[in-house]
Amino acid sequence: MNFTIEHLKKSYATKEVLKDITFTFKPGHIYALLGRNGAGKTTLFNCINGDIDTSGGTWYLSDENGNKRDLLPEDLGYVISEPMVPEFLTGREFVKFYIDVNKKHIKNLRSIDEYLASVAISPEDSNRLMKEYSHGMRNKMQMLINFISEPPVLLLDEPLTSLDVVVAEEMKDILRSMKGDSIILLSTHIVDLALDLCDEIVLLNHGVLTALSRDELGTEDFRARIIEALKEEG
Amino acid sequence: METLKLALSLQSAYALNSLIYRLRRFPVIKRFFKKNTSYAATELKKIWIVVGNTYRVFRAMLFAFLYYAGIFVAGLFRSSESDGFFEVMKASGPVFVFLLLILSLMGALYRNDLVDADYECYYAIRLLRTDAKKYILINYGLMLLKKVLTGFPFILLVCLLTKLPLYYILLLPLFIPAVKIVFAFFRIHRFVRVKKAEGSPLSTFLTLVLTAIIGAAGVLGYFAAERFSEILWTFAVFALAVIALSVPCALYLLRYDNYLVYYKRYLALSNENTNQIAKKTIVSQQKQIDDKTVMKTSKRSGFAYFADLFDIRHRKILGNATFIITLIMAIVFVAMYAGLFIIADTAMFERFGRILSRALPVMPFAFYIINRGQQYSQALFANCDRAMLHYAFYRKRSNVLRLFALRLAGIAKQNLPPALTAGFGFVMLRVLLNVRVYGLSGLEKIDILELFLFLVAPIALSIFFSIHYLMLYYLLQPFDIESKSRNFGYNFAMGATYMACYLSYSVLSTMDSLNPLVYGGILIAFCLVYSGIASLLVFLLAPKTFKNRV
Repeated sequence: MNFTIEHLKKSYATKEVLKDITFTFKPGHIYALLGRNGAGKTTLFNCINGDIDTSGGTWYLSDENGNKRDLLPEDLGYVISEPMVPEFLTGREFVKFYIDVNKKHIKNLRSIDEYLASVAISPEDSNRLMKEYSHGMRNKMQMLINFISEPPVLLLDEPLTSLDVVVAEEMKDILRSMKGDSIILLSTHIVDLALDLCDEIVLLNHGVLTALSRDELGTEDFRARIIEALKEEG
Repeated sequence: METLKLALSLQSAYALNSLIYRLRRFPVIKRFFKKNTSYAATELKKIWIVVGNTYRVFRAMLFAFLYYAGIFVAGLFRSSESDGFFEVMKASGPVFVFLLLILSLMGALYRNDLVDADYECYYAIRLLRTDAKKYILINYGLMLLKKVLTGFPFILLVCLLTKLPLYYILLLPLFIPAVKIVFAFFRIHRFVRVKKAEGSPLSTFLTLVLTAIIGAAGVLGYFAAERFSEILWTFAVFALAVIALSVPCALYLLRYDNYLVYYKRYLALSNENTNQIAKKTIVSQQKQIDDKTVMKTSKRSGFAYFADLFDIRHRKILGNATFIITLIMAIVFVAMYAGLFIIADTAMFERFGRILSRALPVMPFAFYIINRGQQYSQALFANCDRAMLHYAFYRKRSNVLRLFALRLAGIAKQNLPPALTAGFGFVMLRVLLNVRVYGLSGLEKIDILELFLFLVAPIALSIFFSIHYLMLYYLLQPFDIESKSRNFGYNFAMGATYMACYLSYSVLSTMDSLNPLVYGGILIAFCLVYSGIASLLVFLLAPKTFKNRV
């Protein structure tokens, strides 16, 4: 399923943060959404997730025959930069609750232990309240919950920024393994992370999205071009 | 002088910007504010400073009025058996003095710290590097001065109305800051000895127990108030002694130098970049999650499992609090039943019976105080929905409504035991009182309708408060990421709820022309109709309104 955004706009009073977002994302790809601080990356994600109202525009899923349908809540996962989990539950209880509620949307249902092991949460930790979890463990739990039903679209807002190097590498591996047929849209302002992990680079600059050609991915010149493009906004 | 100016400017700036922030959320007024320039220092701002400070004075006077009027009405309520308006007024004066002394003692003991861990204090000491001693003492002095100035006009008025001895006009306004100074001295003195700004669990518990004992003495005194006019002079001696004691205490506080250390311990700030203030509310809510219940679980599944676990893990603020409130109510009722058979003053029972028949208008205010709805909503947001609303599946219409129904059942279950205790407690009290006064023939004098209202009104009120707070939470979702309410509508509704309950207590309960039975009927009907409308509004609107404020 392709995910298409058409003419999405968002303004705050007189400030136009998102001017005209139009883009089609393809399944099985990790997209890096690159932009400077304040470019509107989180705003774009919040609009798609329904956390804030937009000033215009639509987004939808479409199959290979061009049949369109609205993005439903179960089609979307959203991992925010500050990991948010219900702290009164244990990790195990959170997974059980999610499975109970979303059973009919989960394609390849596995056991709770298997899910927890897939993000390296030990059985001992899985029975502790999540209020005692470290930042990295919360992040992994948040990621896991968003991945269990393998939604067609997954938004990740600066997911690795505040993690230590070991957890960050673990998370990268988890992301690569979970890619499957989903569209993963990962916002970041770290160019190296985008080059290392993502299949496609999209710049959010001046309130519009621009794709950079994939052919040049990884070259020194490409890196310099990204930085040059991002500088233009400043 | 510089520090005084800084403290005043900070208070003024903070209050003014808060007012602008609130006004910018008004549907029509917000159009007059430009997004980013309304906080800037402009010519217009000078007018705003006047408006902002007027608003601060008005707010302080309003709170003082509600406080003193509440005490005054409690005095009137207690003295309503006296003959004639002037006699009632006169008899209420000593009760007013007694209650004010008791409440000031409780307030100074339970909530009295030199440092208030708010943003102004943080800006002044941490960011602007103001001299901590000067800032803390000046701020504390200003707070005490505010209490004296806002209290004085109302105390003066009550003293004149109730013909209290004129020296109380001076004694009472001075007693309030004096008692705070005495307890602040004990706090600092303890800090010097044990280097602990915040109490250990034991000392917090002891403080609570002591506050409760003073409160209990207040309740007992209130019911034995007939003789207060004879011992009025002892209140004056006590107030004078506290005022005298406060002088050396104040000198000690002025001489103490280590306020910066005290402040740091108080806030437990270990480094310059930790923004503890902003996270304080969230952390305090997280503490409400009970670690010891981690082994307890629910046999249900899905949202029922989720809601059950929330209630189990929050037993500190839900189940335990309900148990304590119910237990205290039960003890009070049993003590009153015992009193009926121990005391042999039939005339007093007759008076008590007449007071009891006017108890219905007091119920909304009593239930406003004891119900757990507001704390429940705050905990729901801070420890659950703040995180879960980021998950799209959680916001699906069917899921929002399902969870609302489960939560409503949960909070109604929490509010029900005190309501049933109050209902049955009042019914039993009326029956025993009639038997005590009239013998067995008293049973025939019982008004069945009154018994029915005593039983049903508390239950209706508990349902009303359960749904009221939960509905407001779902429709307005007022909390931001710091779990603070920034929503004008929500804050207005909270204030209106308080005022409605307060007016029922302070005005309706003292109106002779009000038929308590008619009032009870209207109250029950209102609660039921309101609950129906609230459920309908949630069904229609909550799936759209229940989301995080980004």
